[in-house]
Amino acid sequence: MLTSQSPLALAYLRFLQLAKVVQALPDGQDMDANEEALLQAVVLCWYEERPMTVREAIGLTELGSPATLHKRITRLREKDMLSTLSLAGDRRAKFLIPTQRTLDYFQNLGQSMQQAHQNLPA
Amino acid sequence: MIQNLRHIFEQAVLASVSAVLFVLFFQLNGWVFASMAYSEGISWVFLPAGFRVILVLVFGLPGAIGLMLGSWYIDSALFTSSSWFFPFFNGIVSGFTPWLVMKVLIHRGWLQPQLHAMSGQKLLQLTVIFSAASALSHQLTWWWLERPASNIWVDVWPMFIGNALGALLMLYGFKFALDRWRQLRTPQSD
Repeated sequence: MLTSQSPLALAYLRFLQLAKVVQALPDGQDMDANEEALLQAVVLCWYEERPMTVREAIGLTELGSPATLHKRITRLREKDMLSTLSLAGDRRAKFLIPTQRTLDYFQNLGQSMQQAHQNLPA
Repeated sequence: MIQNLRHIFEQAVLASVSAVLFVLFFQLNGWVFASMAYSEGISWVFLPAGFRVILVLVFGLPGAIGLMLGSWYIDSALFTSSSWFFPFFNGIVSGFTPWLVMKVLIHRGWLQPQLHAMSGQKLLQLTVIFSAASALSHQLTWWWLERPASNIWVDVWPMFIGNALGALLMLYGFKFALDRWRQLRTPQSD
């Protein structure tokens, strides 16, 4: 069916395909599975309107030791996936907040899930 | 008949776009990376190599023809009655090497004609393959045509590095532009 289409249409479809691949090029900002697990835990708390503090995050023993989790938080901040927020009255507690990049990331995952669901045979 | 004419017209449009983009980026490369020139015709950073990858993958054969025409235009001053064969074959090699590589990869099942199931990793591998093939084919042609002051065993390396760096710069520039465009289009959450 595709061979009967116009060269311009085929070129545009291949361009869209290539653009998708180019966006997936490795850029050193990819997360590993451990970082993803921590990010999910932090974002889930934020979504439930009880944002996690750094202290609480490094206490997630099921994800690693406090030192490891602290390094992981630093890496996620360097990758612009997490930012911190201090409340005006209490500057000691630092809350972990997802960045716009993280929200885009979860939005993409949501769209991919929706697309995969739509492509399932009825 | 009208359908065929339209088909030919669209292919001519694609070839023209390909030729114009290749020439523009060749001139831009000469302007931006003038200090990175290794020798005449070889630069440590060669941006149009990125277009060789993109145009051939996206446009197919019209893309390759456009690259050849663009190369002929760039070398037009060299088309004299006594030495027309050098720019002529240089253009053919410039346009058709990436297209032939693509055809071989499709034939071997490594690449899908419509670029399905392609990954970022695969695109990077393809960039390296295109860069190596282009550098080797150019150097072999120059050696065969006895281009003055060329040494295939030495010159092939800067040409390969220039192609690969240029293509990577182009692809990551494209990625950067797409990321910014996507961010602008995404509605800001409250």
